Amino acid sequence: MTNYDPKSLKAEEFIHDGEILATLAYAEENKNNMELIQQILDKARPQKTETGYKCAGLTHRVASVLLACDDPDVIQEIYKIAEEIKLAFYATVSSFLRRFIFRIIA
Amino acid sequence: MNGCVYCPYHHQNKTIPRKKLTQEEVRAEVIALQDMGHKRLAIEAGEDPVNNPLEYILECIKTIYSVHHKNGDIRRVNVNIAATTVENYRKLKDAGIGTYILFQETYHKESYEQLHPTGPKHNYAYHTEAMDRAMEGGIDDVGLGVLFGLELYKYEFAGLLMHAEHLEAVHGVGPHTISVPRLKKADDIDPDQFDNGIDDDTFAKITACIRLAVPYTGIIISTRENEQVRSRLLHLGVSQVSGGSRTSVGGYAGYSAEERPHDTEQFDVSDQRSLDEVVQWLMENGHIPSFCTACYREGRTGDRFMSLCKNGQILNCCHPNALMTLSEYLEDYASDSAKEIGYKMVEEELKRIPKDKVRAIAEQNIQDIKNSNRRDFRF
Repeated sequence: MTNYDPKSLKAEEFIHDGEILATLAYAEENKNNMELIQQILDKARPQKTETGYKCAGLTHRVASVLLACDDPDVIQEIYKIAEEIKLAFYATVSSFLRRFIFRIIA
Repeated sequence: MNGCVYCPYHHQNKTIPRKKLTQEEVRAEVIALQDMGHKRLAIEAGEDPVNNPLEYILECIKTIYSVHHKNGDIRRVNVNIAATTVENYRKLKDAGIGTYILFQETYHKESYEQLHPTGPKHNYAYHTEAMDRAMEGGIDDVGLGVLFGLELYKYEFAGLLMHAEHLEAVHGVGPHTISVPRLKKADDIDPDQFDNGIDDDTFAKITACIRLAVPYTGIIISTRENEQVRSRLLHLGVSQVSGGSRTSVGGYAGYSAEERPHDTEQFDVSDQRSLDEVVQWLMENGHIPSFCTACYREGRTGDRFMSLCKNGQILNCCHPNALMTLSEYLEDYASDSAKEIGYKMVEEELKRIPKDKVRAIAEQNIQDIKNSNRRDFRF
């Protein structure tokens, strides 16, 4: 038996099957837990700082809860925050205009 | 030489022609790409140590960087080749590559082994630990991705984020990019034989959740997806698009924008528009198409790129860099209609640069681009 260890250099310890299965179970259990989901959404929102914005990001555990949630309002909120995050890092000074910078690759 | 069951290049497929480009042919491809207006490109190659050793890839990189057709210039070569050794990654780094991209395909070990029944890619641990070796070899920017449709998407999603967390925990820097490819129809491959295909809504939700979980990564969507899907995902966190792509070996030189060779294609391309059409479409939707490669060339890679990003500093140079590289494209390659929309956009956007000094320099540089052959300005 291996243990989950994100710092390990062994594939089966940092991509730990048991941890993924536990994550999926946790997500399934909490996919209608609106209180928790609200906290997760709040954590994901970009926060204004003196120089710009910062984003906290989400762990695989809580991000999986969002992915499992089927509530249409929550899904719309996820979409909204995704766009806000992109605006925070790629937008111009005017955040009213939806102007993003795209990098083009061949 | 791998037996990947989802890819038409699998070694039992005797009907798909195999092809290796000579350096002369590479040069012709690069000229064709430069003439379209590309500044960044990705090298893709199958795994074959006899016909396709690392030395061949290194030679191709050297050739690509050496070609300067008209005002053309390839400024960043990203590489997507099979998992290899620390020593080989170091050689790629020394050759000046941008991002090293390697898709996991699936994080589920058993499925992975079944999907790669033969060949060196069969080794799950060697493949999964490749990014650690790449970083040990000095490559700061690595690109992750899973092929959605092979395993249950929720499993893949968790695995992908754990991989990102692992890179951050061990190397102090997360993935530079995450790609979100979906399984597509191809020669000798029928996506219906895979039960885990995902619909457009699920695909959108996965992409948005990745954006929330890994806010600083570049999310890439390819021409596998059609215009509608690409339009939608651009609002949900996607930050890089490919344009005018061909998935066949040597698919650029000697073909017009309308005709594309199909015989060696890896998968169907849904978005078949030319680069100029894609650029125009982005601008019409209020997006600024950027051909910028400045960060990598100013040494802003890995954790230096991430810390700039986290301090909001990217905004102080990304915006003018995007406008300057867009101006190069407009001046050298754009159609008249793209040029008209583009310069209007550049003019408007220049006004939004907050620092007077930066704005003045950017304006002067864009004037120089229009009035001379001076190129490659950057902050």
